[in-house]
Amino acid sequence: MKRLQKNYRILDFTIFVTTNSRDLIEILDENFLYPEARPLPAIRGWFSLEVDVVSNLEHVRGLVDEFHYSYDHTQDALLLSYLDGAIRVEISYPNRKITARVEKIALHYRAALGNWLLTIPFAELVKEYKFYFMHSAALEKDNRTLLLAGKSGRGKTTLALALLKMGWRYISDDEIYLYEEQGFWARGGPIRAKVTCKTWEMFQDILGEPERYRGKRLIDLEAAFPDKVLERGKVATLCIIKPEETFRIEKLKSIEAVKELFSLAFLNSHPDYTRENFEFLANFCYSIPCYRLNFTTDFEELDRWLTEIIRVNSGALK
Amino acid sequence: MIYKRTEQVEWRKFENESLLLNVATGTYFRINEVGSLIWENLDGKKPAEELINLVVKHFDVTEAVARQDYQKFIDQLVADNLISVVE
Repeated sequence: MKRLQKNYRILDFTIFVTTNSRDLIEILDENFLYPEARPLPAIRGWFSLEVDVVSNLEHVRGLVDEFHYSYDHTQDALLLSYLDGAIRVEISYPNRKITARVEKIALHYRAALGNWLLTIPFAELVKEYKFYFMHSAALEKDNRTLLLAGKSGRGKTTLALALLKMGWRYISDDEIYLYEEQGFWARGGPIRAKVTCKTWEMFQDILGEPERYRGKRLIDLEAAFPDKVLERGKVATLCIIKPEETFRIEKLKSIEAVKELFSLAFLNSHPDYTRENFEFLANFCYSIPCYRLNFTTDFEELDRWLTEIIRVNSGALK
Repeated sequence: MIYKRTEQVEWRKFENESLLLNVATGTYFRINEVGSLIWENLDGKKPAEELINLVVKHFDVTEAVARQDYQKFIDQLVADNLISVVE
């Protein structure tokens, strides 16, 4: 079968994709909509992704949360395996190449494929360019950017939409890439957010009737809020978030923040990148004030607190 | 015995505490100020007696307690492959 080709643009990079599966292209399209910087910066680099979809398994035995990875010193490659080997990915650092073999049955795991074929390999490869991934939302107000970091289900999208409604500007609701350039900057991830029906109902007044997508609502934020989507912002503060019954915000020691953020960044891979990533995270937490934020649905109170926190911490080193 | 930090550990001191990362395994360790003082001085040159004396000098503990804490800490670091024996 003739191989299909498609290019994707992410940050300042191009990914050349080749695959034998039209379904896979459709899945990558769903997971891959990034804002383009205006004006478009020059392409800094490129990576290739080759995916073969095969039909050897009739069912997947692995658990959805189970994955394995290891660094191969001889090949200078990171090997990832997910769903009991139904998704296997090799990330070659010297060749900037991602090679994947996906069992047809694994095509049902559409969001996971986006993660394992694009997000994780890309986050690994851009470390060469000193971009560091973090599982975090990013909102901006008065030229000060607030990061809201937390694992899936902790309320990143909910808070991003709540603050957007309160007049903040949107950089990302889920994925950011951090880099250092006279301060720390966050660049946004996808501008298309998938929100649960519950979250959509909370913000129906500003979201209107977005497209339905596999039990969720798919929102093209740039189209919905054309003047409120930013490509990047200078970081003033980070909050590690959790929904709770009562509102509480407390300052974290740098060492506590690094520990908490370990699990939200990809660290253990190529040893040199692991060292650099650790160093970056340590510098970040030493320079940027970090808080633990337990939030409620009183978004007006939240807005007041967060506005004050970024004002106080604006650009200041601790 | 004299120990030194292995090459597979990356570390950073934050105020009085330190965070150690084993880059080979991805595991990390938070150590308190007593541990940080010992860790910083595991340079492959200082013998155990010198490090125990450092702990006694900086913290309000007896030599017996310092020795016990030192040995326990060193055993943990060896087990996690964060230090190795020089001599």
